[in-house]
Amino acid sequence: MLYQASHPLIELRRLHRFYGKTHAVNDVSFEVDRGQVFGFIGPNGAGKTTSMRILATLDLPTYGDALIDGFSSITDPDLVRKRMGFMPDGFGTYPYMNCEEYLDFFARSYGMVGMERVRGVRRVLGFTGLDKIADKPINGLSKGMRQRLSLGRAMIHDPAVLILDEPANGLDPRARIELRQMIRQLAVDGKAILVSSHILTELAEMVDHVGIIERGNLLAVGCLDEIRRKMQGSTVIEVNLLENADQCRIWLSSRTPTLKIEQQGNRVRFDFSGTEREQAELLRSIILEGFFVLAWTAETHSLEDIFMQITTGAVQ
Amino acid sequence: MKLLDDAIPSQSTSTVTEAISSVESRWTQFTSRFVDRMNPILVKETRQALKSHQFIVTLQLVLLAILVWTLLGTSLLSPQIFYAPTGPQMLIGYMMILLVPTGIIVPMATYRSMSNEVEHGTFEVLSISTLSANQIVTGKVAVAALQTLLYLSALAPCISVTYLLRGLSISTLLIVLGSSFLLSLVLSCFSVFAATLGKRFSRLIVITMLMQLLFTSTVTLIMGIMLLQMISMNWIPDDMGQWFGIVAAVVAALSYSWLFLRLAAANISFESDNHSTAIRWSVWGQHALFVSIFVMMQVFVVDYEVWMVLFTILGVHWSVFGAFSICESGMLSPRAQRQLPTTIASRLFLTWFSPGPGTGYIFCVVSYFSALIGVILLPLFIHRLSSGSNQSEAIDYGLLVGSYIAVYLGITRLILLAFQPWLRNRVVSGLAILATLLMMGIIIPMMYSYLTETNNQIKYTPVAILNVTWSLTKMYEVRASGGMLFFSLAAAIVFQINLLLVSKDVMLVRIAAPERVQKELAPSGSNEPAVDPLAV
Repeated sequence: MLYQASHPLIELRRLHRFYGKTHAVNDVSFEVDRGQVFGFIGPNGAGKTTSMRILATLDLPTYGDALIDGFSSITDPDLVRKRMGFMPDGFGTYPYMNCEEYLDFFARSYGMVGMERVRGVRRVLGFTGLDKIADKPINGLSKGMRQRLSLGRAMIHDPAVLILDEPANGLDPRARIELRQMIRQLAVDGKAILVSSHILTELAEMVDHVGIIERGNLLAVGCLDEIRRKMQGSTVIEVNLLENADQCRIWLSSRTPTLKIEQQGNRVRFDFSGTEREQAELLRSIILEGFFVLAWTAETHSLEDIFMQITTGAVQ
Repeated sequence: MKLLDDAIPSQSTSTVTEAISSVESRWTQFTSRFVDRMNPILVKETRQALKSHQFIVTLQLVLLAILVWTLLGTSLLSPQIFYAPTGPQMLIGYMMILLVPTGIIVPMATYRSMSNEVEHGTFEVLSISTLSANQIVTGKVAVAALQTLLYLSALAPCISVTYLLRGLSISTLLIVLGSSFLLSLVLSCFSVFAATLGKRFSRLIVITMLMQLLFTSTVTLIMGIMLLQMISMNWIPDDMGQWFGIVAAVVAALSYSWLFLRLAAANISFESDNHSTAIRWSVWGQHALFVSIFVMMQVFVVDYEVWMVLFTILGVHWSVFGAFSICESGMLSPRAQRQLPTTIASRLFLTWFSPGPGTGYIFCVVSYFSALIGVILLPLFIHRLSSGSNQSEAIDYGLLVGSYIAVYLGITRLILLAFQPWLRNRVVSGLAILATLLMMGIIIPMMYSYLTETNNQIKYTPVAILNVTWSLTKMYEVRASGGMLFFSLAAAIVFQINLLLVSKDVMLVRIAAPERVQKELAPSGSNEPAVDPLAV
């Protein structure tokens, strides 16, 4: 068992990467803890892949540090590689090799010997659902199956950290759902996962935390709900009443004169800028006032809305 | 009774079957354990090669060619094949067939195997595994060695036949076969190195491919001619000198293979790694090897001309290595700083093995001059050698070669240092500056001579000391012109300036690895907590 401490499993500290005058990554810092899935989102050329490559010990930063389980990717790449699995966007394959041989080779490359290697290969084949096509040549695999194999290669040595660059790219809906389930399961198993994707609806369903990056700058980082709250400012609440919707509207206006209220039949919509507790207290007050509430809906911004709100669409 | 009859043999059969399966299972376990310890690249590539069209087709073609030559050679050499020694003629045909896969196809396949890793994007996932750069390159060469052995095995029965046909000694056969294997090994190591150059300098991929083709085909051609001559003469080394020559050639070939592998590993290892120290040790090892060979040669040849050959070899050796050394980055990564020597003695002797252009320059110059000092002191140990005029000429020659290394590399390093902030590619810039200086060393004396001489003849003048090849081939004029003293002084001054500038590199001290890293890297068991003596 590798030595594990209580610090974050992934940590970027003031990471900078310059290519001449281009600032591919500019002062990016964030942390990912055990069991968390961190979504790294941004337009093309935003600096996601560069940051991931630095974490994966494939590139060096101009300034700053990238740590995996407390070990620097710059000064201790050997120790980082034992703890990290990287699934790149592109997937190169070896000719004349089947899935099992491919995984067996990487298991050997990570120093796994004897039954440990055999069990490792079986575990990964089972987890990724490739066990039925274990002896199929890699060149004959579909895109989805290749992505599974790439994920399997990244996790063959049971790393504590997984870095997945666009894992859902080019997958059909079923494969995407299955991949999402696999990633969630890996997080449940205690791994820290950093995942980048363009498919925000997909990402929203699997991540706990997000970092939004554009032109190398990290624009927002944190828990998805936190960012949502910060971005939204106020929540639009829609109350569906059984009767007396107009009286309810008057009651709400008298309670908060500045409240912007609309009424459509038995439905009342208004902007609310309080916390979740205040929202719950307002609902209790309405019910205690004698109004029959059928439904109470707080409209939240989707990840796509937040992304569009934060980013400007500028590229470098 | 019938049941009993049936039972006895069945029991014995099952015992035998169990015994066989037990042996089989032990054999399987043994081979599995053995393969577990093997280089993963070797295992992977062997699996791939056994399925690949290239290997299967080549092997089939080689077997076919062997069959065709056996039939053709036998019929061409009949009827004397029955009563005259015809082994050499048959072996020449077999060797020509063997040189194609071992000298061309195997090195080319090794080059493609390494360059494909880069082109097909598999190298990145390979490099982030726990395989070291050394394991990757040695794995590639091990596959080449295995393939060569397979080709040699395919030819083995025919080699036996050539021996039976008389005219060949066992020594000749062993030397010829050993040379083919060594040729394949050296060329494969070079091919891996050439392929990794393509990874480091992606714009030069075509050049590296051409370089690999040119080098392998030239070396194979030269070796082929030598081997064929050796076979036709049924050459057997008959004195100690010839055996010594063979051993020296083998050791030199192996040392260059090793150097190519070190260079290849440095090309593909992580950027923050220490790329230099291992290469410097290899180059220094070669230097020691050359010197040892020449000292040993004194047993057979008592002539100071051999030292001039040694100084020429060492001059080329340190000039080429030095040219790349002075182009290294001046920044020492924290990872490399963790490996700096610590004690005073180790800092005095081993600092020059640490990365950096300054240490590289001093390392080259000092290593070269250590050999020169050794030659000066040699008569003290080998009394047969007298310190006559021959020795003084050899020493002057050696001093001039050393002065060229010190001056040209030293000035190039100073220019690189002065223009450091504006240089994009240090290697290209450094080599360009060095080439320009050498060109100026040729042009200036010629211009000077042309302008000063009334009859427009180009004569050797003291200024001509700047021209390396002219001066080294005209040692008599060099000594007469007096330019030698001036140039040696210039070399001493350039060396002193560089030595002063390198002081900041010498002052660097080792930085400790973080405590967690030390714990992680400590041998298992040593990081167990010590028992508290106060605990009850």
